[in-house]
Amino acid sequence: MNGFLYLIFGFLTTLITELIVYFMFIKGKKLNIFLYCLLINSFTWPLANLIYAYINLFLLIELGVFLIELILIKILFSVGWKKAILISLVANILTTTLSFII
Amino acid sequence: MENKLFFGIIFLILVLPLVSADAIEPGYHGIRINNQITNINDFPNYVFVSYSTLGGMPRSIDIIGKDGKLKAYYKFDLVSVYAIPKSEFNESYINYLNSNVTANGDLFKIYFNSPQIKKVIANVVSYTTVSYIDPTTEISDSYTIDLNKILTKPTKEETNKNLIYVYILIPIIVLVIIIFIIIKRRK
Repeated sequence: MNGFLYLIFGFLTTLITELIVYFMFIKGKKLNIFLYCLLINSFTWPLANLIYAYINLFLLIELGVFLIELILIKILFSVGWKKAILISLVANILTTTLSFII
Repeated sequence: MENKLFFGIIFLILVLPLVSADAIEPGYHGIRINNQITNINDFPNYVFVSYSTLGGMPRSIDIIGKDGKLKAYYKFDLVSVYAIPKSEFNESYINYLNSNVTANGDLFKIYFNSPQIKKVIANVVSYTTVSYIDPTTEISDSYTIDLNKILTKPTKEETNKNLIYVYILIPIIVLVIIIFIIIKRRK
C-alpha cells in the first residue's frame, strides 16, 4: 500500500470509528451527523498528523484533538458539555487504540 | 452501567497498547525501498546475488537479473550483495542451499567466505517508516558498484513526494465552513 492509500485508509478508519460513536450518542438526522463528523475530522485529523510529523508527542496531540473535538461537538451538535466530553472521549480512545493496532 | 463503561475504557487504555508488539509507531507507516544496481551489465563475467539473513540466520540467496533490481525483503532482513565469477557460479547449488536454510546454515557461511566471491554491497535497506504526514510515497536507491569496494550506502537516492499543502488547506477550509455554520445559526 503506498503512502497516499495509507493516508486515505487512516482517515477513513478514524472517520468511520468516530461516526459509529456519534451515531451511538447523538440523535438526529443521520446525514447531518455524518456531515458534522466529516467536518470535525477533516479539521483535526490533518492538523494532528501535521503536528505529529514535527513534534513526537503522541498523547499530548491526542489530548489536543480530544479538546478541540469536544468543543466542535458541543457547538455543531448543540449538546451539553458532559455529553460532548463523553462522545469526544470515547471516540478518541477508540481511534487512539486503533492507531496502535493498525 | 456507567461503572462498567468506565472500567471498560480504563481497560482499553491500559491493555490494548501493549498488544501491538510488532506494530509500527503510531502516526507512521511503512514504505518499501526499491533497490537497483545501475551498472550490473558492466560486469558480464559475474553473477550477482543478494543474500539475506535474519538475526544472523540465513534466509535466502536470490539471483539478481540483468535489470539490476533487488527483490523486496522483509523489514528486519539484513541484505548484502555478492559478485560471483560465472566460472564459480552453480545455480543448482544455490537452489540446494535455499531448499533448507536452517540445515544449511553453515554451508551458506562457507560459500560466502570463498575468496572468489566478492561482497559489493552491505546493509541494503528494503524498508523504512515515515510519518503519515511525510509526503514521501516511494524511495528508490541505486548503487553503482565497483568490484574492489563494498558499498554501505546507495550511490543515489530518489524520493517521490506528494504535496503537503493539503494538510494545511483542508483544515482552513473546514474552519471557514464551521464558522459559517455558527454565524448562520445565530442569525
